Amino acid sequence: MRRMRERGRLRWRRALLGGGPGRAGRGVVGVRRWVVWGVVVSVLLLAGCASGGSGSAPAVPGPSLRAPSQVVVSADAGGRVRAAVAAYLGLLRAFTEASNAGVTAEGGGLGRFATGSALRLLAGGLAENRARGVRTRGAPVVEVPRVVEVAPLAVPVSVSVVGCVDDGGWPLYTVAGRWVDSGPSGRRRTSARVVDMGGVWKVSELAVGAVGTCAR
Amino acid sequence: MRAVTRRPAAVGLLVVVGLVVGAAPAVAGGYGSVDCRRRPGDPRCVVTVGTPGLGGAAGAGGAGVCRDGAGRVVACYVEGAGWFGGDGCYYRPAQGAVLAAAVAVGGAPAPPGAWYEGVCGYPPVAGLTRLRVFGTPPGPALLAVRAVRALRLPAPPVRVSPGPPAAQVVFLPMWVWLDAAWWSASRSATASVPGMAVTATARPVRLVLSSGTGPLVTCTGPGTWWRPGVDAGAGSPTCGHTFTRPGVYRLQATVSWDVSWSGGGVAGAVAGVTSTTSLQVAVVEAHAVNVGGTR
Repeated sequence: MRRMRERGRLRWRRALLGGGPGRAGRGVVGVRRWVVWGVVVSVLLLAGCASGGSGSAPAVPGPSLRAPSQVVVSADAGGRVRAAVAAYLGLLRAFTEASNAGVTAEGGGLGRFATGSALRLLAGGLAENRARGVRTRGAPVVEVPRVVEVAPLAVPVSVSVVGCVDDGGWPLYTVAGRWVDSGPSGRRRTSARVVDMGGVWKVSELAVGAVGTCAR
Repeated sequence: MRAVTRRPAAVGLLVVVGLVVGAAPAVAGGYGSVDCRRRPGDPRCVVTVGTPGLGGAAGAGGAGVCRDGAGRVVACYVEGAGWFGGDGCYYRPAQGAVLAAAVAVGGAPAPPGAWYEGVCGYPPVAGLTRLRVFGTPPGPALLAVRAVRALRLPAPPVRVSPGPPAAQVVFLPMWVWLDAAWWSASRSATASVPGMAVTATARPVRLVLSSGTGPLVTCTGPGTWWRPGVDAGAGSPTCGHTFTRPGVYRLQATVSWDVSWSGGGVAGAVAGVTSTTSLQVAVVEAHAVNVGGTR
């Protein structure tokens, strides 16, 4: 039983150990650094009570080199962002079903919604669940995420979102039907980068935080 | 969960305005007024970090500059583009048509977030505008990280009475304190670039003495210092602990700090900052100590 408990955190364990969305040119930051800097940076980013950036430009005199903003937004930019959000939701739905059925990522069709490190993250979690003979039941509550990054604006090919997932009603059981203690459950912060892969939007980076990280 | 305090954008203890350079022609289109790769020592390419009393120190390497993904030094601010967002791109608040487009395609951000428009590269390449939500504006945010990092809060020089190497005695109260001047010392650091400075300030709020099994005593101040002549049986009125079992105790004295910062029109706080000292205390039975008098 103790052995089961130690190995029990299988739903998100891989997700918790995974990296957060990396930035262009730097790739995905390693585990500990993402956790530490993610906490520090996100604390600072959340701590400021900023109005829309008023007064943030330094007072450097001289001719303004500020070019007028050329806003060229394609007609379907909004649709592309919506497709990205749909891919995030679709991925978590597919992951839930695959985890409940005890299948692999391939068997669960996760490749339609995920790629790269996000796919490896969830595929690893599913594989470990299978190896341990455990499955989930029910479903996590996945909130519609907020969009926090769109690039480029004109024709988006990369969209980042942050959201909340509550896995309180998504327990683990052995195949024989015995409940498994998988540690704390509750509302967790998620962040994901979704990219346009030749017309199909897929989550390329995904991070799921510890219980309590989702600030309302 | 995380302490967030809004403070007025007050004057910092050390405000470094820096060298406000007159109108300089762009070195190359899009660099703004300085190319930090050609002139890395220019004050606009360096974040100056200073603490009062120790003078300013230009952080020419490591934390004192902004770096792109490849580790190269870039400007922290480029006119016409905005503040470095840590992701290779420069951001300024989205306004007008861009803001309308951002809300249309991405929705309204949850407060205190706001949409910023950005361009990437150094020099930033115009035309490929991207959008990003920032809770704290990127300029003050990058300066706040460096100011907080520069605080270097010291481990608490905890005193106990009786002082080592004298041992504690069971049932005899141990006084615990920190020097009052240390507790109330002003601690701040300022990170600045020409035109903007952010000052971080720290003050201690709590001292916790704990052993392996948990906290022994929590004090919301520096305690009361023990002076010879105080009744040996009297406990500290503010901060102390009485051991009931002999042994050697390995203790941790942890000070929790209230860290806040302000500058650039915004303010914020950092929670969970602590510094710790280890100390070892021997506790003996009363009959093992040659105590004069009736006790």
